[in-house]
Amino acid sequence: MERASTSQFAVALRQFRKHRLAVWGGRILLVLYLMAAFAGFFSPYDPNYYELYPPKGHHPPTRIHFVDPETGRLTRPFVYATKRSIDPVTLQPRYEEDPSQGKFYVRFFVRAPEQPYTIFRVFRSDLRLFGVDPPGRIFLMGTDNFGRDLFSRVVYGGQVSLTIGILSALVSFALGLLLGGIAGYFSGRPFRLSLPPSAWRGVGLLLGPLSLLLWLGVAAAALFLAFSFARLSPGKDLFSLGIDALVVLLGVLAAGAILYRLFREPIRLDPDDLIMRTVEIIAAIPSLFLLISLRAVFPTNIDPLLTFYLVVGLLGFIGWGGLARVVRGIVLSVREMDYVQAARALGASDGRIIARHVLPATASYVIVSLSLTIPGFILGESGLSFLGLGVTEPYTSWGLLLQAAQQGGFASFTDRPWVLWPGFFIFLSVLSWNFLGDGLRDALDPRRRQ
Amino acid sequence: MTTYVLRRILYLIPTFFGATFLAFLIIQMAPGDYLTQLELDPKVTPETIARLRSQFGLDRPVYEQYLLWMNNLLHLNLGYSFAYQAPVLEVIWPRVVNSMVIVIPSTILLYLVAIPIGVYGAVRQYSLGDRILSFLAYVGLSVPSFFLALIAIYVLLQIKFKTGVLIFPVSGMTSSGFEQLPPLRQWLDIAWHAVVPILVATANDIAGLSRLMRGQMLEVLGQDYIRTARAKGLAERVVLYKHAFRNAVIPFVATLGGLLPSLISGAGFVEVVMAWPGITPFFLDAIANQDLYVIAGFLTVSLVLLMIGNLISDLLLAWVDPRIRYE
Repeated sequence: MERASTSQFAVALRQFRKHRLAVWGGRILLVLYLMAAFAGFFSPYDPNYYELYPPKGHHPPTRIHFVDPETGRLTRPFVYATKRSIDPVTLQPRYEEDPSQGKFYVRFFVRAPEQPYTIFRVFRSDLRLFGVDPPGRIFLMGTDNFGRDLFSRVVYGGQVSLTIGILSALVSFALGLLLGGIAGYFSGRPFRLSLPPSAWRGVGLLLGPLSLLLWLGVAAAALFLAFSFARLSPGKDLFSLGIDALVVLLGVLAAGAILYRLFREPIRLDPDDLIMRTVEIIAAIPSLFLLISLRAVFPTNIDPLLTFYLVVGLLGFIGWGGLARVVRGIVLSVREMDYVQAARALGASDGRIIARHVLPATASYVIVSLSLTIPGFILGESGLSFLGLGVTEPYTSWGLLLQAAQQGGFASFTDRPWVLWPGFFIFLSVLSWNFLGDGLRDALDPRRRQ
Repeated sequence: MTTYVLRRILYLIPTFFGATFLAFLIIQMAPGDYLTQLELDPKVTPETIARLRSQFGLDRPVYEQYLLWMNNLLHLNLGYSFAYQAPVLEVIWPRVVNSMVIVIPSTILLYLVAIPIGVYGAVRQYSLGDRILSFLAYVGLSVPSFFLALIAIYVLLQIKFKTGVLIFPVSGMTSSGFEQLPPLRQWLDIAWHAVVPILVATANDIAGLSRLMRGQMLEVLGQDYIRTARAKGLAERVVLYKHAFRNAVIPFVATLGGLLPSLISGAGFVEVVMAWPGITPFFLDAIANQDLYVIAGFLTVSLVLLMIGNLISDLLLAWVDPRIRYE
């Protein structure tokens, strides 16, 4: 039967189109991600290529001429080669245009066989969007201290910055959905973590003694820690002795409670409590400091690719708590809905109920908050790299490029403002993601539709 | 109510132990310890290292170190800094105070700016002013604070090169010759240095707060009692500020408790870029040096403040909103 009404998706799409900033955000992101995916094609040079002689360090952006100085008419864009000299006062390199070497026209779709690249690590090519014939050079955003083309590095840096945003968002969402879902769905249905000896039958015959041993170990550990506390305590005054006694008492009580419980009824643990306490603990430590402390756990001189995944993992680990809390709330309310009760009455398994009824209910929230957390992760990565704790050479990211910009003190970017370019790319991508997320939220939330 | 507070405090105990242990574990998991860098120094003999290690207690097992530290903590003693050879609290406190010079004005400024923007956005929804203000708020949200600080430094220095006037200093907290200034001038000097960091630190947070305020205000304005208030002929000003605003602002009371830990956790990257001697660069150094008890002590203080802050939030909420009752 053909429906006269429009589908949910079409309504959302129409609503999304009304949010013009969101549409623009989406377009800008499309461009940025395409540039990152086909970085080799869009960048005129290899990001790690530099010339030893003549050196091109700290080269300002190449000026592109549109007017022929001889005829005064508009012409095809061209650049001049540059001549390097050292400023006698500041000892910094200076570059001046050198028309004597002739004009180097900007050509499009050039082949650069000496600097091939691969796309997605599979397709080899040497076709570049634009370039000039050597010895002319075109540096759209100048060069860094080695003389590497900053524009090419920004394009390649986007690969890291933009994918880390998405990857860490996915990691934190996988964790948040899984743990938030478990916490919400199994809230009030605690897991049994031990068996009293009276219930040792069947599989319990194996699991019972094992869990018994485990819990005896826990009780012993509590006692041991409490007595070690008293043993190590240096203070001999009344107050210290009081604290020692209190701690020992706590330890004995904890061990006693475990033993008492162990032989009477199963020890139960509500996963909701466990997960939400963990979220609280992670949220209790300021996130910037937690991130840096966690980064310090791993040495800084490990393999660059490993560092990349490490940063993804750390950012994802920091971010899952808030999401888990919200997902838990949604699942808790969905669980009590009539249709879920109906499914349970029909004999659907937990897995089926979760997959068919509970998860779809969280979908629109997840899409929206995914697009609103990605910019946070992009900022997080750039901050970490800016402190020198993020990705390392030969990989580069916008944060790392900015770090290089301020490393030589204020003079390094007041004399060479082009090194600030990567910051604009961070800003642009984060802004676009924010707008996109905002538009998605308006589009997917019926209450916000106009 | 009293039972609720007591239960909340009891719940805090496992969280406290869990988080301090986590913080301690993280620091201990890092390879090496404070003395590892000293070992590379050929002038320091292995005997000295061993002596220092036992003096600092670093040769003990991790759980013993934790228990000793916890023992000190229960005596309200945060431990001893290896790098500064002084009690942690004495080392941290001046840095925290320096950070507060930025954080407190910036927080006040944040509320002063964000709440009016949010209210305006709700009252004149989709007007040109609303669009411009929320666009600017998003710009503020999207600029990495270290980049904003770099831009501010660049602009200020360019102005200085052009005109010879340094409008605001770009680095540090005090001018040279600070010691010789009379007390009032010293205060002015610090305030002068703090202007740019305060503005930069505020820019990031305006969007979040003003969007929240706008959403709250919109929701309240759609309620029936607002229509009733208008129908009975109240002035629009009275409707907005007596009926709507007072209800819309309730959730913000809940955020007040969260301000307590943020008071000491510093202004973040701004301090690093602008060489402000606050807690952030200090903490980074402590991590690089593996100055164990400085890190653990600082994390503990902010943890305790966070837990107290959350408790205060809930109590405040129950106080201002008679609909909320704790069993």
